[in-house]
Amino acid sequence: MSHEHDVNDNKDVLFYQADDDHYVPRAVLVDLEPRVIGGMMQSPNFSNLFNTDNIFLSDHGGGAGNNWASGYCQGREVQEKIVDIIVREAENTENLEGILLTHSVSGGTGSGTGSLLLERLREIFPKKVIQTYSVFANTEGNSSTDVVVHPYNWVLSMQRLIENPDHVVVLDNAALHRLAAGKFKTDTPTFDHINSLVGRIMSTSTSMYRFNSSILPSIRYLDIAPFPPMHFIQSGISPVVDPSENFTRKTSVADVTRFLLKPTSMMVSTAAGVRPNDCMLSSYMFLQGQIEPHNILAAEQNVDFAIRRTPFYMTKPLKMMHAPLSPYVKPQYKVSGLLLNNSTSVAPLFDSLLAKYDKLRSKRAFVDKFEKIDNFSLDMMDEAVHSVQDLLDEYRAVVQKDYLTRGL
Amino acid sequence: MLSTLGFLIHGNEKPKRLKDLTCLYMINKNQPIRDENDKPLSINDLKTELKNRVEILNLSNFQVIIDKVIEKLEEMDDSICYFVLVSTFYLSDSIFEESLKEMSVNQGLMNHNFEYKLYSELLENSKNIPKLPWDISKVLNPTELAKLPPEQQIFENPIIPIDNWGLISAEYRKILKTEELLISARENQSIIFFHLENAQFFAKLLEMYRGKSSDLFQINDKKHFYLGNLCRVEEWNLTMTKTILAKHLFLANLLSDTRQNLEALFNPISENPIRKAIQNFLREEFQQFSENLFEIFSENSENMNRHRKCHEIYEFARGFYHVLKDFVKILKNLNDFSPIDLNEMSFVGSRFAALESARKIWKRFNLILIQFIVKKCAEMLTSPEAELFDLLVDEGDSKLIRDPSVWQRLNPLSMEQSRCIDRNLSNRIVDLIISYRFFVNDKKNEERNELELFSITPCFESTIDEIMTSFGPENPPELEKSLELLMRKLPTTEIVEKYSRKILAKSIRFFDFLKQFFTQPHIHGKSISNLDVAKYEKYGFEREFLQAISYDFRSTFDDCRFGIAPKEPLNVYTTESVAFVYSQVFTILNMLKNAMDAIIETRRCDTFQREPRLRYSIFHMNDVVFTIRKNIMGLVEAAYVDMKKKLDLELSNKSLNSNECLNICYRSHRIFMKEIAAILMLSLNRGSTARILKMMVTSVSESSTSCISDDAVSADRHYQEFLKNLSLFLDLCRQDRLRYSLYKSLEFSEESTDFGRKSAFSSYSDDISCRSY
Repeated sequence: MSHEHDVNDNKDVLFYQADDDHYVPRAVLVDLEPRVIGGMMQSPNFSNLFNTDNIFLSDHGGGAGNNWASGYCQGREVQEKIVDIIVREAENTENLEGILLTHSVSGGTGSGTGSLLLERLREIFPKKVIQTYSVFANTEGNSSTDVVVHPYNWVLSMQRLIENPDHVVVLDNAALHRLAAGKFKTDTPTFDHINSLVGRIMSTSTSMYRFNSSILPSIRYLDIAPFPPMHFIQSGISPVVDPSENFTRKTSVADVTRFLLKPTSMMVSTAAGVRPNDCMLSSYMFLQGQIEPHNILAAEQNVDFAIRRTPFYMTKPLKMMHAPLSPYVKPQYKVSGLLLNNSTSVAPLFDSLLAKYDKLRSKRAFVDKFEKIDNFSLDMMDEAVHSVQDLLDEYRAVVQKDYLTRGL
Repeated sequence: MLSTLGFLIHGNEKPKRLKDLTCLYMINKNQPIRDENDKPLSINDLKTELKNRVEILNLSNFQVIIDKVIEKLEEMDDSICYFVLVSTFYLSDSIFEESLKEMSVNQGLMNHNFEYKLYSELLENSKNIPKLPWDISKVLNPTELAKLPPEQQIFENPIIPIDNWGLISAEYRKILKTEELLISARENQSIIFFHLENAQFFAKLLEMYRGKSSDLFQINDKKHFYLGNLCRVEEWNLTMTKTILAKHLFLANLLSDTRQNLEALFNPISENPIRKAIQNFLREEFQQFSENLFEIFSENSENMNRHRKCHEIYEFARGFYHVLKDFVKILKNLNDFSPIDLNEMSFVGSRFAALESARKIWKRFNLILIQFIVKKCAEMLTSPEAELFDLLVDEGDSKLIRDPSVWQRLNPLSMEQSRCIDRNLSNRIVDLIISYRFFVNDKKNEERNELELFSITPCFESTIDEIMTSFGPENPPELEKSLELLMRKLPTTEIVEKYSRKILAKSIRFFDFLKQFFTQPHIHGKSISNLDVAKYEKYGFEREFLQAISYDFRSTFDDCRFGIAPKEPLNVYTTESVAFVYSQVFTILNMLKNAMDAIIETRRCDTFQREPRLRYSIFHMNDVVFTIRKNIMGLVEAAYVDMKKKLDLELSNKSLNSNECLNICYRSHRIFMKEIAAILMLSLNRGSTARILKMMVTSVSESSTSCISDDAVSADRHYQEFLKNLSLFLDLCRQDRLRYSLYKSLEFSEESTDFGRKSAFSSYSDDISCRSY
């Protein structure tokens, strides 16, 4: 892919061309400990892909220890170096429009340092779109996270996610595991399984910009968060297939649309428990593959009346469009889709996580791990809780008819 | 005649004698006095002989009288004069001298001294018949005079006028009832008639048809033939012969007149090739007519019934006449007849003319025309310099041509159709000719010489000959077949086919280019006027097509005007209206994109964060603009996909030639253009879509600007303005029933002026997003 040229392939969006003509991702890799990135750089697929100048590994290499405060405060020490890399990379672009950040919020993979970076990025690039792909902990069943303080980490991350990015794509590990287990027919889905799902979400959600779409030519045109801070986006893909197996279904626009609009297709574990007054604020459905334009126009009309909107006047929240497909990838299916859904039905996830936080916090469980970090105080945690509660209040208010006129 | 002879020979004293008439007849028939070569002596010879004789006999004084008499007789009737000279020849010198002297004195012509009396007149009767001043009655023995052989002594049994009963004999009655005598009696004068044999008769008849006069058929001062003398042909009597000849005379005169009219219309210095061809053909036909007449006569001339022969000649000449009559009309109005018209005429004539001779002539003319047309077509198809307007017509505007092809839209030439060449074939030929010229122009000049196919090579004529000789008696030449053969043999067809295929492929690429260029305003950036070819080439646009686009600097925000002027022949697709439609697409999409750009600038501004209503209104405006833009782009894409599918389907038909494929291409693009115009609602409300959208976009931009400037009140005011313009837009959409369903979701009710308007489409019922499975 890096060496081929296609007229519709906007490689410059996410890559730049090095002097030896191969394309290098405009990516900055940050980790406070070297294991993951080190392992990646030794693999044959990725060792020659990234610009090694864009990799930051902490000198001491100890990591944050799944502690948001540790990551945040360590991040403060090294933020200038990281920011330098990011700014250098930004200056190499012709027209920077946005930044994608991939991290987790539960601790251990960029929750603390990632939160700091979010703040700095917003500070440095106030007008640019920041979109995060935030992995939330798996709190269900036997595969629950081994980070016991993940509610604290989550709350603290949430405040930064509420204040800084424009869109947050919520990737709930529980939902990912459930989907992977179901589709890949395994009780213990591996990272490869999960990452294939996440990778597909990320690639489909950026395909419009990467392949010269006229409808959404850049990330700036993605208007999925009409009422910030309600910018937490659920995602769903269809069909979900094991690449190693033969695909035997027949796909069509109608099938894919129908599946994506099911709550269970969302990568958020509480989507199945949708409340009666939950509604869609704004959504984008990207359909890829061998699709006739008529099919999309017809499908749009068919689902129009099936979408629950806010009680106050809103135009049609769901926007369906044909997203370009990479010319280098030949999927097993003819039609596929991704739904980015800004719906109030994400709120129960936050409710449950907040409940977990409350449970821990009321007992002051494990707070000492946070308190002992320099420059961190529990006030930050409380402040973060307020932000989350305000967010949840917004989610509750937006389903009311007087949302726009309240307080007037 | 009897009384004439009676007075001439005997004066009034003796009764009229049949024997004298018999002598007259026999002498004139047998012409007994001949020279050593057995050639009969003429009247002049006999006069000379008589003169010599008079001198020898010392009767010179009487020469005057003799000359007078002979002259008179010669004026009156050659046969009587000859009769008298022959009788005088046989008269002995003594009787001649004696009777001359006696009778000339008795008639008062000479005095007693045998001197001529001045001012004396010959003795004549009331009919100016002179009495001979010498006596020839002594020698009037028919047998002796006519020197008949014994077996022909028909006068041994002379006709007896009165039988034994005193009644007119049967034989005499028969003579008296003869037509000639009856006519003579009716006209009260002697008549002269010919009695011809077959060969003589037909020779004279054919001469007449050839335009030559004879003693039988003479020409008056109006150059018309008339019957010089009555005539009998073998057993035909005078009346029958006259009746039969009447129609021949009439026809011959018509033929002669028509031929003269035709020859008067000939223009020997004309350069008009069809006129020259017709003139040459007619000259040959005149020649051929004479020869064919002779052939008709000589065929079975011994055995064929004379009536039938006359009828054959008449029909043959009549056919020729009718054809010449048509040619007079043609030559008089030659500008009204194209070679195709003439070919049709000749074809119809060759099949359906009433007379076979006419059909044959038309058939020959048809062949000449076919050769002419085939040769002209071959020239036009092999040389770009060939004259086109001998066969083709410049219509001036392709709209005057019914269902013009792509090539005819570029160069509105047409060829007539007729019964001999159907519309499809004539259109194919015209397309080939025009496309060949485009092909030649497309090439560099140095290759041009190579493109002069055949026209100046020896193969050219032989190709035409080969085509014309491929037909035979069982397979007569037809224009359509000849032209089909020509197109198969000439390399032009293959060359043009390949060229047209390239144009077809280029056309499809050109459509792709136009659609991409004008429906992707985001790639143009802020400065549309700067059509930087190098920059656009990076997006994959072809340089050649980019160079066809020009930006009109008079354009405004709500009216971007582009000129699309590709090189021929692609310019056939890009008329002014097409450029207008593409410009409108671009204008509208560009406006909508600019509106979205304006909204983007409001993100993260303080007002936006503070004011939920403003956030809502900005979001609503963005949503509307996005939806309209998406719908337009989706519909355009759908129409384009339909066009490509249809093209793929129709062009996959292997039986279509490349020109037909280009026509399909053209029509598909036109349908696509109409579809785009419908998508943009250009025909509704006088094409005010762009204006309404411009008002909406202006409201969006101003609201966004107010938002950024922290002026929530103005922003809200502009939003209200936007809503008014949106309702205008929705009014427009409602008129487009086909596409209204796509815009229906933008409808809003006016139940309250404030927010909280209930959407007509909000639902509290179960919906898929809320259902758990």
